[in-house]
Amino acid sequence: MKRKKEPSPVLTYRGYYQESWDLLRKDPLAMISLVIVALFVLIAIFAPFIAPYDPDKQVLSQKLMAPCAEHWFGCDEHGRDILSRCIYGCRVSLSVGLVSQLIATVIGYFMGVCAGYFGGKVDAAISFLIQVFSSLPDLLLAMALMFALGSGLVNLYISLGVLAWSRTARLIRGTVLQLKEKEYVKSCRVDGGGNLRIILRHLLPNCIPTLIITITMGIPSAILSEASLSFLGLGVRSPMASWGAMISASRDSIRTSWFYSFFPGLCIILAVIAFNTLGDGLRDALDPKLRK
Amino acid sequence: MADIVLEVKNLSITFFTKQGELPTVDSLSFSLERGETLGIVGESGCGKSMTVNGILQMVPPPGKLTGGSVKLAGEELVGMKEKELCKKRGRDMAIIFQEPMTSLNPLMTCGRQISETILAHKRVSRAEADKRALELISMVGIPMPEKIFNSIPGRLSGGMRQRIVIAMALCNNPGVLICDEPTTALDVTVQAQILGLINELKEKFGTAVIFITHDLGVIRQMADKVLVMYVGQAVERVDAKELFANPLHPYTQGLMKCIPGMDSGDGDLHVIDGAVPMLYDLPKGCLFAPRCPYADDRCRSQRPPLYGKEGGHQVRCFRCEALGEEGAL
Amino acid sequence: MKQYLVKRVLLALGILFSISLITFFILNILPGDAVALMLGDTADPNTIETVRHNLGMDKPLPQQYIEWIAGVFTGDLGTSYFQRKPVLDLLATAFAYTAKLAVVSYLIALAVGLAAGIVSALNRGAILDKGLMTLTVVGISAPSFWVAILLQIFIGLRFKAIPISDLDSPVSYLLPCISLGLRYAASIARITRTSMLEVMGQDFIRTARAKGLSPLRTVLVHMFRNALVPIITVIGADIGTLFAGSMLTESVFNIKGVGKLLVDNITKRDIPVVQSCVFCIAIICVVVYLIVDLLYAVVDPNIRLGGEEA
Repeated sequence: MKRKKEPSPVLTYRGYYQESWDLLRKDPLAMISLVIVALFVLIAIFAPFIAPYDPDKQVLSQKLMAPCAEHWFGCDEHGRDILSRCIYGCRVSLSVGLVSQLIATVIGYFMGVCAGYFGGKVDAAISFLIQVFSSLPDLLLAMALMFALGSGLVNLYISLGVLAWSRTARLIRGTVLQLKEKEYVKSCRVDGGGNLRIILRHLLPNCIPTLIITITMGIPSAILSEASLSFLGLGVRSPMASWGAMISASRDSIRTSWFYSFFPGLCIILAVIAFNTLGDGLRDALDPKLRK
Repeated sequence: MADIVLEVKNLSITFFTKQGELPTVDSLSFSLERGETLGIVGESGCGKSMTVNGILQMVPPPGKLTGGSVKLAGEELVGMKEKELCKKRGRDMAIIFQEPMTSLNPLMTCGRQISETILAHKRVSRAEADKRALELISMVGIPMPEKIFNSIPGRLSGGMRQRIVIAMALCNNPGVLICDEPTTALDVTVQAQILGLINELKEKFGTAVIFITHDLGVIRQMADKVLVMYVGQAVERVDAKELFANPLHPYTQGLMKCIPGMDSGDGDLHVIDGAVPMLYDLPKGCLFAPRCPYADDRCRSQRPPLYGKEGGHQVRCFRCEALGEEGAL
Repeated sequence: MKQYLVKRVLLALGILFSISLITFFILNILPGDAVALMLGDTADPNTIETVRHNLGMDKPLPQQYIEWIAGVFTGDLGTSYFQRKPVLDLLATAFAYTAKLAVVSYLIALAVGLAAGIVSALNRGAILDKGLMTLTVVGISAPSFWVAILLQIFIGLRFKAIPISDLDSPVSYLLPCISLGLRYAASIARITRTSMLEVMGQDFIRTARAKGLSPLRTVLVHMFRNALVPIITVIGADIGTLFAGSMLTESVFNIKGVGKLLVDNITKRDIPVVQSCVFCIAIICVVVYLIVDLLYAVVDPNIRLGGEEA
């Protein structure tokens, strides 16, 4: 618990998100990471305009060319521009991160709400499922799923999404258990509000801060999982550019071309740090438990 | 004065924070003779506990001991090396903290926590230390000492834990025992028992005691001399008897009126108006002026010195100018 | 204590049973004919049927599942389709490698992480603390396979004495252990620091100092011991992913562990081996979680004795 040092003399109600935003703005690390995340998003969206070359265009004369003025990150074993491939790889990583987390959030939210709201046997069953899924490393089941479904971007979304729900569900369950005791939810139940109505109208808005945090924190682990799967050959289909797949391909030329392995990894590390730091900042700014 | 075990002179502790330098303890002086009990009284936040930290040389950051001297049995503690200080703490001076619930290590058995203190200072075997610890546990009035010896603190009540803390403090027969609000967190009945125990053991060991509390009623039971503190400063310093017979500082008078049953008046509950000023926003004149019923223009513009002779009745109030200045502010 | 133990063991068994169902479901029921995938696009329907029959995949699903589980209990995990060897033998050989790699990596990570965390906490706000914590951020975010390749490029290829593949001589442990252990060292350092800082502010530490205990004793006996519970939680969660993470390291350094076995056979689509490898790693994770649960009780007598929580 953080204690406020000095009570503000005039209490003005500014709205929850306004207050969170003010807190976030004062956190320099979070703001820097927000800028980096925004940059990554822009790069992903405008990849065709930013990339200096066609990521799939093979120029055999430029095979494993070292970084130079024309090719900042060098060229790969087929003479493709590594910078351009990194820029397109950003699309894969961010979209996998975002879509899989959205899938995980939808599943996790409904599982968590049902467990917390209905309690009893439903809660016991869902809590058990949460324990089952959280006791396995994400990567393992994702590998099995990708093995069963076959590689490809859509299958990546699905595999990483349906396996990552347990964390969200656990947090939402906790939030709902607290909310259920709140007067306005009780009074709504007394007034005969339907379950679905309560779940969507009253519980959802209160769970949004938790969801924002879990999505932001979940994206970096999804990015890492995607990179690992692609590295193992279970991710995107070639020739699609993905950071993990590029590192995997670079293994044949480590003796000659350090830059081929180095830059895609740098992209991963930068994206993961940015999202993690932003997530930390958001948690500090949004979590009402940490606020006074 | 012979046999002075602890002498504190002009002790100053400052907190260096974003709001500036905060004088938490402001040139505080007192001395303590063998077997004597000094009571330090004041509202919460007036620097009592920080004084204790200053004596032990354990001021937590961002605080810093900025001046003065602390002499324990003639030896200067300020500036002493940490290694030497470790030898003093727990052997020559011991402390009983306010919160019995949290001041014991939750994962270590009570007996072990006492014998560990003995082992830190005496060259004895583990078995001897354990034996001594067991004796101490029964001495502080705990039934079934063997059982409690092997219990972790989580299973004991607050009163029992405070008895363990007392046993721990006395295990090396220290010259000075500092009690920092030892009974504030306890029930009234338990409070009386613990106070009785401290008094009894003080007689037995001839220990000098510094007793810190916000409760003047407790002071009357325990103390020989009293120091009244307000916002880091001593505002009144005198024998306990004299203080209760003739409180001179308006703050002390106010505190007395707040004790139910102490005031001869109408039985209404008295309060001192206002609150202790914030350290980053101290009044320009006398620190008590904003809450003082007698405050005049001089009080609001100048800080009064401590009037009265060393050892006699000393008061920090312009109304007692007749007592004569001690010299230092 | 007994009750606690029985409860945890039962839960672990329940989780294992569910995992076996999930694994079986993923590999056998999902759309996409595993055998067709296994044999490739060119296989003719007759061959596919024969292979399905040989693998027992034409039987009803519940029967398949029961036979598989029965096999798990009797130590018969089936036969590798391509290598024609019992899967159990393959797994046993591979597991020895994985266990060696994982245990050595984690012990080193543990030592480094705990030391870094304690040093950081004791020097809070100092440059040392900030430097260490920046390193841990990088350590947590860097993909282990990338670190592994960089180590190969910048250390293994420069110094001929340090091999970049296999796990035979003591020196050969160096790079795989660093690449696998780095993220765990980082996460242990972070939680140790946080947990130590929390304990440092508590009253009983002040008591310990006021008792005149030596700084070393205060730090180790009073602070560290009390900071252990959250650290153990993280360790438990880590060790589960450690065995999964070693897949990547094994594959980079060409170490013939369970991970490499799994990855290789995924590429070959050898279903019996894949199924057993996945389940084997899952079992290890669950067993480790169980051990961690029991460790809590050892570290914290408040749980062991069923007293109030500290």
